[in-house]
Amino acid sequence: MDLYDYQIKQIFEQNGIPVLKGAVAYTPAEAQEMAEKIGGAKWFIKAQMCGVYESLRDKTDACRWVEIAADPSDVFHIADRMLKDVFETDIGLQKVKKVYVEEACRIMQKIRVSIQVDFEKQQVMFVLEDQKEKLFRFPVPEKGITNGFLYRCLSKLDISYRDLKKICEIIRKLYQLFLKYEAVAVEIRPMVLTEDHRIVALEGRILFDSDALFKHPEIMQMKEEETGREREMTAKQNNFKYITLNGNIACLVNGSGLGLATIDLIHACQGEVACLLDVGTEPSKETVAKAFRLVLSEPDVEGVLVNIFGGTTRCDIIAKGLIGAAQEIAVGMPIVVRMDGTNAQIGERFLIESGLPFVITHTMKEAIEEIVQKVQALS
Amino acid sequence: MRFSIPTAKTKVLIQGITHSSAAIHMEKALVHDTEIVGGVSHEKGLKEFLSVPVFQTVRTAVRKTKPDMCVVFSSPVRVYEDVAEVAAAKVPLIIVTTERVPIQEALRIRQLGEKYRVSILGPASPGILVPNACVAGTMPAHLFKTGVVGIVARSSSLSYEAVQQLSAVGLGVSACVALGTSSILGCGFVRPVKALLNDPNTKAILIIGEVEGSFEMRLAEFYGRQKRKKPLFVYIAGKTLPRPAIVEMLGTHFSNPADWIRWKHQALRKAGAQIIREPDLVGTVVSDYFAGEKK
Repeated sequence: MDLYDYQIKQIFEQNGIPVLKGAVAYTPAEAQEMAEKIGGAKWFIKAQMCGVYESLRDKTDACRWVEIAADPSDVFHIADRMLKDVFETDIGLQKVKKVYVEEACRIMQKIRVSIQVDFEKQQVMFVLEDQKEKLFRFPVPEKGITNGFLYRCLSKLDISYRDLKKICEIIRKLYQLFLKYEAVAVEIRPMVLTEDHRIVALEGRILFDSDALFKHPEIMQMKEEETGREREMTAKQNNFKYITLNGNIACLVNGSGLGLATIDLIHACQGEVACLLDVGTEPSKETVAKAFRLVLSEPDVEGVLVNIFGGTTRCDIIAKGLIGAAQEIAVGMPIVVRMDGTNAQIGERFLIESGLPFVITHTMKEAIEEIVQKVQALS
Repeated sequence: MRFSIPTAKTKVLIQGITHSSAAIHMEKALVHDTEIVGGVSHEKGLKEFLSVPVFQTVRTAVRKTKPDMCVVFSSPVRVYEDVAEVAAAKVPLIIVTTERVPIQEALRIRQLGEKYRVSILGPASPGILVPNACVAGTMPAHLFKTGVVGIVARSSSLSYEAVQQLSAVGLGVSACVALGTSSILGCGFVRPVKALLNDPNTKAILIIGEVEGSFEMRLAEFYGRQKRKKPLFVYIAGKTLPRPAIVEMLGTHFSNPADWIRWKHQALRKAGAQIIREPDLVGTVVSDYFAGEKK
């Protein structure tokens, strides 16, 4: 889940990181008006898309994402074209609903910086890409990013002392932002030195930690307004871990490792997974019902596999949740349930007594073979 | 940093003893012969809980009861403070059961372990279980049979799946240690595996890893250096995940989970471990090894 480019810039601006003057527009006329208001002779027009940032965009068709307009009527035409465009992104097809109009600048130098949690080294790293696109990685010391630390890191850059001071200032602000929002990563890609000798964040990225966002309702709100991916929002609200893939079998499991193992085994049995939902360790029967309804609402799903290994999780509660949801909505697809561990027999008995068409199996392998076979028989 | 496999004599302290899930798991732990010596609750006036003495601060509890390990039940909001209190009192092994701990908070918890030279399992760890001796955390003791296989796993439910498969082929468990499912962890595979290598009841070790992180790589380095080995079996989940759950950042490249796991498999195989390819084969692969032993 990412924010839009213009939202990141708002956050940057509020936190003292310099950006170019710009405004968001929803129609071509609005874009032209904004360009006139911003002033200057040239403008960048950027198609706004969720979860799309520099490196990704460069791989696809960069010229469709960002264009330069040399007069306000140009702004109108470019915005008009962009607002009719559809882009293939990491999270599926996205229609462009708004553009960002920004004063254009001449770029003299370009560097990239990132403050990120490194999951391999299990610590915070400062990553720098210099003008020649060479990468440097520095572990951030316990006392944080200080000027002393930055001078050591940035000594690699061929840059004047005056600019160096400005860059340090920006990076320290970026670090404060990293701490403030408890982010996984904050990045300026790229940070540029302009012809008129300003240093600005041309594009930025904040990778939020979904487990920390409850402390930052203002960000949550920005996301809710903007992303509108309903199922993922429902998953988030219920604390489900939720992944979507391209197949037709929905999986409902308890525990992340069990989920990964389930996908692996489905693929090994030539099945295709549509989505994976992890209900967590101690769900209530209402939560289970919600989870079940959620996976059933995925458009491509043709069968559901419920794979539960009860430890702390109680299989009888899972069964009650499944029955509750299945009684409400007529489920017209095969549902294979495998339960083992705590209260598994009670859970199975509930499922059988409900008279609903659950197919009950005993091992993970059996369950997976069953659902793969049933779904393949349908097509 | 000491990390040893608990026995029936291992003294366990519970931090957050009045937390909603603490009571349920404590009752079970007591039934399964765990030596719970005390609990800590900030609630004033509570002297005893399920016949276990309750203290107001970790410091007093540690002075009076000398615990070998501490299980922390807490909310994501308070967890750092609660763990810090235990780490400062130098309890050698701390289990953090709390799930959904923010990543930066998990980093600070990890640093506590380094600062006070204590081992921290978690966040989001169900703890350690030694059948009929010690249940420290939230693992379901009724699923475990005593035996010779030591398990170290990232996640909980997948390790119970493995336990079940081992039971089905007539094998039991000597100890089960769960590192936790947080992306940042206090402790990787190395310390628990070292402890299992020294544990007289463990004849073979089963590792259940996950695609993310490089915990399995550290293990491969460590295990490759060992002279005195025990058979090591490894299953790593997530090889068919279409894309890494952790997204691209500056300087990291998108890597395909299948390549990532292949790389881990290679390193582990080179170190002398046996790779288990699919999750349903855990029981049979380990039992085939023991059947071969007997001949």
